[in-house]
Amino acid sequence: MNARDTLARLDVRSDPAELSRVRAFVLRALETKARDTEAYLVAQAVDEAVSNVIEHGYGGDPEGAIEVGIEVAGRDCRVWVRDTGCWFDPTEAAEIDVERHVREGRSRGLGLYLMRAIADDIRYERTDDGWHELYLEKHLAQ
Amino acid sequence: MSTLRIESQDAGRGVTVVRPAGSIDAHTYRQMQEAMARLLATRASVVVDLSAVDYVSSMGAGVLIHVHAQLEARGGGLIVAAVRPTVMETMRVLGLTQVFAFAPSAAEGVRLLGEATGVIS
Repeated sequence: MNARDTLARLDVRSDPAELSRVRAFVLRALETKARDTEAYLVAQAVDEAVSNVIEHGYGGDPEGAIEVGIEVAGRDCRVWVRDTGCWFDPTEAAEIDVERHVREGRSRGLGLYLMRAIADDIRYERTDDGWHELYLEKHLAQ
Repeated sequence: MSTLRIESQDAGRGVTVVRPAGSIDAHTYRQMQEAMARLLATRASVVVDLSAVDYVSSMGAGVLIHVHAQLEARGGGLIVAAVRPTVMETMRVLGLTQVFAFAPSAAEGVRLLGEATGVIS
């Protein structure tokens, strides 16, 4: 059984200005656990997840509560993004055609694609304490 | 808080070099969008120098995709220059390494665009 190496939690408001804190939190948690590019991609997946909660879960209200948790157990990195906004299940969204985005010059809608491409596992559920929880798992190579 | 500063410089030959500095995320991408929209109204070719950009979110990548499509439609060009290895990972995951033209430096990007438009012999 893998030892739990890291367990950290960050509370932020549903304000896009908080995103740099979220990324810094993830990068700090993975500082000695993952390669730079790998840590960057995990931070990207979490940034995109929190951005979705801000836009869709809270509809732009900057005062919503978001919790981000991260742990590294062996080579597994696990992240939770929790909120109490509207139900928005990114795992149920339609597949995204990036080539079509490029052809049509579309500037929005690639966040879900990035999250799915980066994470090895994504789940979304309602917790017993009434929060919505997005779970992301990434197997670290190093 | 994410910050983004954007400078642009006329490199001659119809090429403008745009130099954002900071992070292009859901908080700051509109600044980039507005700066690029102003340029697109008048310029044919653009080099975006990302040497001072430490993060590009999906929204930031979306701005570049939009600019690429706009410039291509009018026969202009976009070169993305001096991309950090971490930011290049975002481009790779999105498949944009097959879409954008990249250059190791802004100067090289200007040179390539000059050649492509035939202004420099």
